[in-house]
Amino acid sequence: MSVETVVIGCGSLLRGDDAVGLLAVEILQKKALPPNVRLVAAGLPGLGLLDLLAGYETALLVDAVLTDGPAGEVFELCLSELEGSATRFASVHDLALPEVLALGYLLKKEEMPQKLVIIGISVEQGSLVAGQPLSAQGLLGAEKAACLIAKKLAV
Amino acid sequence: MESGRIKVDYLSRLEGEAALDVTIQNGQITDLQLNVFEPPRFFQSFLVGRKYYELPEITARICGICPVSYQMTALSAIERAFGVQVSEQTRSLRKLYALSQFIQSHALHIYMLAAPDFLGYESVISMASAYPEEVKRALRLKRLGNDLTALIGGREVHPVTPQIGGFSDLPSGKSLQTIAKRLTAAMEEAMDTARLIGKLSVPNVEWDLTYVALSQPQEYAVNGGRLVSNQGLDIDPADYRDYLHERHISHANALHSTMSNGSSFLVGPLARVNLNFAQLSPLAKEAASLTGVSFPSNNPFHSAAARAVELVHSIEESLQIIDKLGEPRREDGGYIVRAGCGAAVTEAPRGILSHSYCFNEQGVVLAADIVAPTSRNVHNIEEGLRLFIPKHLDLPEEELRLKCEMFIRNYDPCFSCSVHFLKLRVHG
Repeated sequence: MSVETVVIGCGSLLRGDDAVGLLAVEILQKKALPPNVRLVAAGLPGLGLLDLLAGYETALLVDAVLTDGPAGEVFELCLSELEGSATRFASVHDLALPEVLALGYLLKKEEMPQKLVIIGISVEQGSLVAGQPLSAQGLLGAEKAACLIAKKLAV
Repeated sequence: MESGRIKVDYLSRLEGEAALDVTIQNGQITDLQLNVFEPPRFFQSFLVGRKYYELPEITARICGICPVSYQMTALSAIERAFGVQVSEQTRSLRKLYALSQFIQSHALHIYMLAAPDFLGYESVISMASAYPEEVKRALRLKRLGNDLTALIGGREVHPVTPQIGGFSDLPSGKSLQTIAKRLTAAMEEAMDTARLIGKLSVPNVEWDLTYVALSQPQEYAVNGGRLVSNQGLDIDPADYRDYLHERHISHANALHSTMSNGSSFLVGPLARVNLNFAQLSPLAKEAASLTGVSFPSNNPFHSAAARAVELVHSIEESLQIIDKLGEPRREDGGYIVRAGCGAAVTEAPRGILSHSYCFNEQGVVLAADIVAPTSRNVHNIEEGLRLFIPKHLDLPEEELRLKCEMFIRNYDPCFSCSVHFLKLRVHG
């Protein structure tokens, strides 16, 4: 069976709970998943995300999100809900997730997944500290996200 | 605006953090400060005590856009300290490696910063609807540059293969030929980039600019050559600290660089093209005419045109190097660690990057000095703004503010890299 679904974890391993998306992918790697699924721990891919998404029918992106709610909660978001969510570009020479996805669907729609699901794991601003390990809530959030994704992939 | 204050608390679409504060009274600038408040990262301090072989790895982390330049400069400085001579193959591969970074960095600056500015869009996202083919072209050129970096360096960001004397792994001749086909196909896109620049209308601001770059008679200088200026500077780059000076200023975490006579100077693509036009490839010279700019130019807004010219040059020279390389062969990279000092300068996409180190007999770093290109340009940006703003005082305040941001962005400053401190000695 061809690989038609990609699960991409984003975040930085060096910045506390920013790594929750990567951890979720790591947890999924130990689970029994359908053979048509590819798992990618992408780190901070910037515009490179478009290359990682190209050609898949379905994509699930898992990343840390800042919300007003408690840390460790898991949300399912669609693309339109991300609009305006990044307060500024991550860098002028690369773009943040919402901008990259917007650019992808604007310019390369034919290559982009028809179905895109964004799994956000709620983290606190104070937990995004360089050199810090993941918080207990972050670990819990990554577990919950991996569980949710595994269920979705099994359907 | 006859009197008032232009204040940009957070300059947008710049790498790193900076603010601009200008006070104007009766049509005259009474105060102007480019406040680089990006906090210093103390690389020079924590390099002291590390082993020589860690330098390329650690200094590459100073910049996610130009890690290749940091690696190349650190390696050259170490090799100079240890008396290591590199082979012709290594020299060629390093040039190709550096050019790969020019391709990706210039494509992004032109399409993501310059074009939206000059075409009147807030960002590349808003420009993409009206100019989809141009933005797609930018993405393809960036991908090509990144892939070439990864082919030589092992990965595209913070690559891993460069080492003292050469590379720990080499690309195969076949893989080089494959990417050569893509480079050939991209040439027309690079020429189209120069055509696009030719259609853009840029502000006219000129002054008696001093520009500094590496220069070599036989090739377009990137990793070697002498350090020259249009005002008579002509030195061994290792002596940069004797001729290019730095001073602390109270309002910025970036030092201000000056020539010995106290003047500011410009580094980067415009400085290079101005000083080394004769060494550009034939198609790059053709691209220069497509931009409509007559080099040498004293208008910093022509930096985008210079980038387009260098984009074409980088592709053409990359093809020549690949052709010459054939099948790269493994070489003995032996060297002897010894006590001493070494300094080097290379051309990063944004201009000259200087590294200087001293080592003990075990190769432990005793002292380190790193000056990033943006740090060289900060003083020049301030000086330019003092001339640029009075010419546009008739504009509404908001428009003048945007013009100032545009002026600064045009240098493509990377304030994250520009912050470094001189060592402070306290006598008690």
